[in-house]
Amino acid sequence: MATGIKNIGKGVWEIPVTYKEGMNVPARIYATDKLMKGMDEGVYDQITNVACLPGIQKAALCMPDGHWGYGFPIGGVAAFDLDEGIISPGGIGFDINCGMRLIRTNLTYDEVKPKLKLLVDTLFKIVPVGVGGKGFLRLNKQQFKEVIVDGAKWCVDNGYGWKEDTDRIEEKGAIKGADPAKISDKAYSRGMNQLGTLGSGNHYLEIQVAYKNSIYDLKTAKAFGIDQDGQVVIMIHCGSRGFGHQVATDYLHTFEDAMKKYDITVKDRQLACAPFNSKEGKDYFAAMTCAANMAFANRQIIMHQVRKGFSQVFGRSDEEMGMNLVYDVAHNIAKVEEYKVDGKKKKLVIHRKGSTRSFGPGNAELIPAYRKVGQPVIIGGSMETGSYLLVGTDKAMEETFGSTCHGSGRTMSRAKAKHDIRGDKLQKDMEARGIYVKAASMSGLAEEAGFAYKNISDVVEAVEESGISKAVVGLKPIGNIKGTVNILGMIVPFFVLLIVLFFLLIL
Amino acid sequence: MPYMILKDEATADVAFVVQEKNLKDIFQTSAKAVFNTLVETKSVGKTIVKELYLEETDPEKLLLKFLEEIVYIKDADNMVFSSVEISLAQGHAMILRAQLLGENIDPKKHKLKLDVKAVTLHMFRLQKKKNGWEAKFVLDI
Repeated sequence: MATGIKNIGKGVWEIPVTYKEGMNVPARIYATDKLMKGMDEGVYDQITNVACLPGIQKAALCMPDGHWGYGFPIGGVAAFDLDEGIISPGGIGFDINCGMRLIRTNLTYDEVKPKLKLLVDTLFKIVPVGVGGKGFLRLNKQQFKEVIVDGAKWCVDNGYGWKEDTDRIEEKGAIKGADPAKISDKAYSRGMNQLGTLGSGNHYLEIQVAYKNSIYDLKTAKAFGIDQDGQVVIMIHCGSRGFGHQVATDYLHTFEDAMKKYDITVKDRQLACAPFNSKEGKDYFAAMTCAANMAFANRQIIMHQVRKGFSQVFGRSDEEMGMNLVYDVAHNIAKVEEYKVDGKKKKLVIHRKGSTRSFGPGNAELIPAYRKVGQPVIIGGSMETGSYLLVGTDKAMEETFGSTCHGSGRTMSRAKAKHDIRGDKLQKDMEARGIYVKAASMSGLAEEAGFAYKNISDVVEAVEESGISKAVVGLKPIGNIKGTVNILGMIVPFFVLLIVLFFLLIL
Repeated sequence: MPYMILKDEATADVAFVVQEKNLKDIFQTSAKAVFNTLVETKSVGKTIVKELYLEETDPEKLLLKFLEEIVYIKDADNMVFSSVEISLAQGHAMILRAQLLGENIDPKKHKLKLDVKAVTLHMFRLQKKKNGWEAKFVLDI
């Protein structure tokens, strides 16, 4: 544990400004005693580096799922003054607006179980995954520019979703201020064909079940439309794909040069930044917003495919199956939001890197049904252990700039996890436990084994203990698609080969 | 082993250290580390050649630019690579000419592994050592 760190409240630990030269504010870690004991050493170094950045307000924060990242730790939250503060791609991540989407259904586990393999295989065919990966949409540059300005609304307007969907997305799925002129040609050529693709790594599409004994807050669960025993839901985890990755890469270089101009020094090159109100800062914010909107659109297109896949398998329309969007929320983003600092309301640029917005009840952005209870917070666990739906609280608005955790948080490196288990063994073990996983890259699968992550229940216990969000429903996985290869490419040649052999035999 | 994965660093990503006798080999081996993260390189042919010309003021910046270019081409041209040929020249700037040999991504042929989002600046360094050169970098996965 870091020197001088002390417990300052239930589930909150503070590292004083004396810990490291240059700290402008203290650093605070939200964690239970158990999580603190196992906290990655890299977290202390990285969160205190964040505390040194110019214009930071109150404290640099790390959520209980925090672990070693690059620049900010994963789980990092920081708020900066609009005039004296900075914006940093290292506080957002390369995968701009990586986030979570949750879809409810009125199907039960008993109805889905007999068709689970067919369902997972169908979704695997129609949602492209893995390295590279092209979506089914072929857009020209002008159309793609419309996507990055209008986000999920573009998708709904073009037939890829229901009208009500956009009300159930953070910022209604289109953050204002996106400027396509701030995007490089490289970012366009890298990401234009990837709309509607999942990607790789820890990105996934998962079929889950809510059981009665895992509904912790029935009133809120009812408001979110998940209150039946054995109810099936779908969770999507992905971001802005190559488009967002290139935007972040481009502006990191811009900011490395800008730091000399503005006489800013940082403790880690990945924290390269520029004053938020500088030309460079404004340009990046406008470009990052484009990538964020692309990510909202990406998850919207994937949801469209999911609804289509369910309809194919169950022979009913998506409306009949009640496949409403519960919510879509970002966990890698910078936003201008208003919070109290020293008793006064102030607009701040909030960086969340591996942290989810957690607005409490009464927020005007939420639809009336959610406004009464608070914002849905979607927490993705490992593919073995399960996930959670939480709700935002007033305490988060007061203490953590309306932020909470985003997932389990890794405890083991990819290389170690792969060393400890074979992907094919893991796949068989999971199937024996009733979780059907489709993943052709077995090494990629092994890297996502449950033991490589913190226990998600410990993470949820920590945010409940500190009051920055509340558990609503626990969700158990039954089917998972991991970012690997698309088997459609294998099936088509196989049938072509069969037809050729058939004719050869006849001749 | 000319490159090593650092198992205890960068929990969610992949950290590499590359040690070679000369700069040309550092560039070549670092590129191979990226190729191998994406795909089993033995499963990739050499049907497409991508020519690169890059220049930078110093070798560290040039290495970063080179690795970023590989990640960019992977998505923009939908390619994976099996090998690389490099030449370096020092003029007013340091110049790299490279031929990347590979194929368009074909899931039925290539044993694909993990997508690489970016080359991070976190811990990125290229240093002259007593017996050669050492590079360290973290790929965002």
